[in-house]
Amino acid sequence: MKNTTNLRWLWGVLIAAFIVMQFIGNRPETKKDNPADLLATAKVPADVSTILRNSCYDCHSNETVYPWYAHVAPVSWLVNHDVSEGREELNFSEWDNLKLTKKAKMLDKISEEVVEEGDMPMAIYVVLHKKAKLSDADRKKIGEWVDVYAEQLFGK
Amino acid sequence: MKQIISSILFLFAAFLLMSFYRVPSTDGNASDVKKKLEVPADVNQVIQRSCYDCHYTKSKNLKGKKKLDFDKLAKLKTYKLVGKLQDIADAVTDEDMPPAKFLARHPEKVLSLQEKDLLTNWASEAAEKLTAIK
Repeated sequence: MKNTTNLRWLWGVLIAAFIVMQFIGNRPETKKDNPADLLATAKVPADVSTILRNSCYDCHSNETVYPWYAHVAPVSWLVNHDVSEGREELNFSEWDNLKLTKKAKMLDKISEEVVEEGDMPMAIYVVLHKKAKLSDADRKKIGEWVDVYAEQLFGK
Repeated sequence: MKQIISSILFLFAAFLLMSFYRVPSTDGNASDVKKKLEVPADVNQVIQRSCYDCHYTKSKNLKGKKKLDFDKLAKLKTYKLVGKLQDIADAVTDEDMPPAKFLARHPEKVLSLQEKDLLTNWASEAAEKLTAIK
């Protein structure tokens, strides 16, 4: 008898904790209207812009699409953290507000992390977003676009 | 007499042609200027002391030299060079570089406030200069 009351207590505490958890955390807002967005301000080939939208824009733009599980703590904490960190590093929605030298830095990082090293998009993200998975051909396309676009901005 | 007139005319024509020719400016052409990254002696000294352990071609720190190799900086495409310079300025300003762990082992390589300014000003000015020429 005593055991079952203890067990009830435990469940009660766990459920209460889970409910309280749902109110903790700060979700980066989604914004659809972004006049300084890369895709709105620069001529990006259609296939490249599709890749960017599918594989980068959830964390590197204001247009994050949150799946249902991203609303449930503790998963939401991880997602919120990754999205806000991603936007802080590079936010394509604010692209045209960057000064030229910062654009150069970002293009260089894209070429390193996406094309050369393959570290981006992050493995954990790709597991849950099959559409975000980049083939070698996709990475090559990104690399070629970076080179062409960088040459327009900075010369050879 | 005819010879004198024709020589005068010839000289005059030569003079006219000469005036169209301009001595090229000492800057050379744009692509030369673009490639040029000047590293003043005082900046170079700071780089050698506090960055070179990881960021030069013969470094044993593979990750460090892959991210940034001062020996190869001038050979990079312009956007990469500008990007690296901006990254140097940011990393030093944010105190991400040199790494705290590294400085704990080599206290003599800590950057003074003046050295930090020297390095970041050089990097951001060089980056700006390179973006001005297309």
